[in-house]
Amino acid sequence: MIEILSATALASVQDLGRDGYLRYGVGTSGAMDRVALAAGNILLGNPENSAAIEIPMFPFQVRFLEDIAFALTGADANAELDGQPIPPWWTIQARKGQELRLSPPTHGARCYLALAGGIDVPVMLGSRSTQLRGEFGGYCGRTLKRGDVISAIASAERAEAYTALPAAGFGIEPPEFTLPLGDLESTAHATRTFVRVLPAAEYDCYEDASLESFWSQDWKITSQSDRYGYRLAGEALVTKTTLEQRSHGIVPGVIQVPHSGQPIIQLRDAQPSGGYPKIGTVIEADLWRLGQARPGTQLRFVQTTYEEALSALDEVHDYLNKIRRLTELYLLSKR
Amino acid sequence: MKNTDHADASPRISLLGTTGLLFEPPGDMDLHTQRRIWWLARHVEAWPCIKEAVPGMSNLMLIFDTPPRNIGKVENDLLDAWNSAGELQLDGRIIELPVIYGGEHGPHISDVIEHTGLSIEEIVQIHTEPLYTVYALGSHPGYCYLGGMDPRIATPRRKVPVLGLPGGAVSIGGAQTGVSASAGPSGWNTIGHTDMVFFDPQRDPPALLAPGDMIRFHAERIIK
Amino acid sequence: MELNELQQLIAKLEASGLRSLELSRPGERVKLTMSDNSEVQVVNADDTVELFAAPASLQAAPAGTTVLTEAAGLFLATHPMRSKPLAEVGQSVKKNDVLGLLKIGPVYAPVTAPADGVVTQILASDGALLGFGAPVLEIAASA
Repeated sequence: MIEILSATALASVQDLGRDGYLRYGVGTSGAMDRVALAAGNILLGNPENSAAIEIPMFPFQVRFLEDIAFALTGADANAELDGQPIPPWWTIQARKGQELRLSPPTHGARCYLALAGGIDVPVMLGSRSTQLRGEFGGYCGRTLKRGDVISAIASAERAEAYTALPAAGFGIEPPEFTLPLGDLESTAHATRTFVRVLPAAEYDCYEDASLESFWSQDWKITSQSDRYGYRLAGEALVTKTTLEQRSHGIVPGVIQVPHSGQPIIQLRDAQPSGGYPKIGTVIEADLWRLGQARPGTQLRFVQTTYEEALSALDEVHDYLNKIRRLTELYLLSKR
Repeated sequence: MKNTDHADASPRISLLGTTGLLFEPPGDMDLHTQRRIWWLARHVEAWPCIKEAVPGMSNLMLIFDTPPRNIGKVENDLLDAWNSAGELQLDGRIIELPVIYGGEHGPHISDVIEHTGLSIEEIVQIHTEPLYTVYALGSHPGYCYLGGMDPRIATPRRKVPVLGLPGGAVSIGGAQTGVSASAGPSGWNTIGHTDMVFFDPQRDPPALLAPGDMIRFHAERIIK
Repeated sequence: MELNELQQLIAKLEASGLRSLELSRPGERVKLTMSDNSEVQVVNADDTVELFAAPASLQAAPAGTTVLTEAAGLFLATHPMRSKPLAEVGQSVKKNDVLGLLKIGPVYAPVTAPADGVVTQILASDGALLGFGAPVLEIAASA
């Protein structure tokens, strides 16, 4: 069990998302950076889909109400456990009464706090993710508040597996170093995020100059960017003729262009349908990069193909499989 | 990948990244087309590579279970299925919804008046006239897309979406109309308000209405 | 070592894609190497992982203790997400603080302070491939 000590809003309980209810208008929700969420669970020996806390606002502070191992992934929030510095992408055992403090990250947007066993909230429509619009799922269908007490799922294996955890804990390599994309200078300073995009239905309806600038310009991620979507600012995109689509299903990553010509990337809390023209879709394998891109920084779209997008997805799975195998091996050697 | 114009006779199939695809047949947005969409959804849902088939307004979104390596085969199978699709009759209920048009909860009715050149009374009269069929659910939990709106009151979606629209908002977006089930952002023109609970996650199914159900709006009050 | 534990290790090694694994504990030492043909081959150090249990001699930190690696791996003085090294000369450290990282495949194993003290010398260079028991840094115990 942990107690939330921060008044900061917007932290929420998320797993990998809710599948199979789009036909009732229920969007997927789930972690904005699903690779970080899965990796945090892997560090703890949890199923990858276990629920964790997504933290987008800092400082953020919790108190441990029992001895329990936890993992931190995602943005590096210069974590301290009772003053002891904890490296990013790390797991360590907390003792009852200890306090974990996360500070504003230098790079990245969201930090994930996972607990051994996974966070224990009811499964609603197949998922533990918070459905903010529908006000259900997660912790009471809402973001977390000061004083909330959150439990982990108790498991016999949990206690046993972590007797081997070194006192200082251990970590894993964050995915941006295993799966780099774009120019390294920008990546290192997190000033510009590169994501791969597959053209979507209305791609061919745009003026040639607009298509050219879509790929070549730096798009600014505006302050009106959150779990619902990222609103971008740049040179407006112009269609050859006025388009009005019939309402149809959309998925996280779809780049819609309203009449203003300024694109909106639909994300995890986006509505699952829409009618604005779609110029492209940020591929599933790169959505975690978007989840860590902050308002005020630049975004660059890189054109890709379906086959390349599948390979990129395989690479993400390979990364997760590799960290799972090596984590198990490492813990085994420490027994 | 097939990517043809609506003017062509063949349906358009486009990718939504590696997460799914969108199937858009040509033709009018009417109940005949929609019944074939319902038929197609039920048919393709059984395919092993498909996680969910989600009807839209005379279109269908497929979500992949795992993205198929051979996307061309899925597209061809989908076209074959569409060509053999019959009309699936869904026997729905009829629900009456009292609406307060205009005023504080219908802030964009002035935009509809301006766009159509009609008076508020005419707009309300035209909006309450038909028996609307629920074509599909989408947008947010429990929201229904309705078919059958009179094109005379069609009004383009807003240039900039509105962020904090309350639940129960009755709105027009392009040639469509609908009622929001909970508070949130929308790019549609809100013309009125109704009180009704459309969604309960504890219920199975969680949504009050299903495709095939019918709605009639009834003007409780008009605020100018 | 029990046979089933050995079998488990072999299965993990096969699944991990690593070439070899070395494991030693008080009184036993096992080295497993995957061979894909009968010829003797030079094993690329990057593909090799040696994991060791902590030797009993490293429990206390007398004055001028040299902190040694407890595994073989690539030494990272700075976490790649950060610009500041984990340990610098003159820095006060507490027992179990992470003073460096050993990269073993995608795992970052900690190089930890055996006791409270002050860092007096950094011995390993960033990016160096270190074997088991290699000196990393020196700590003077605090009074």
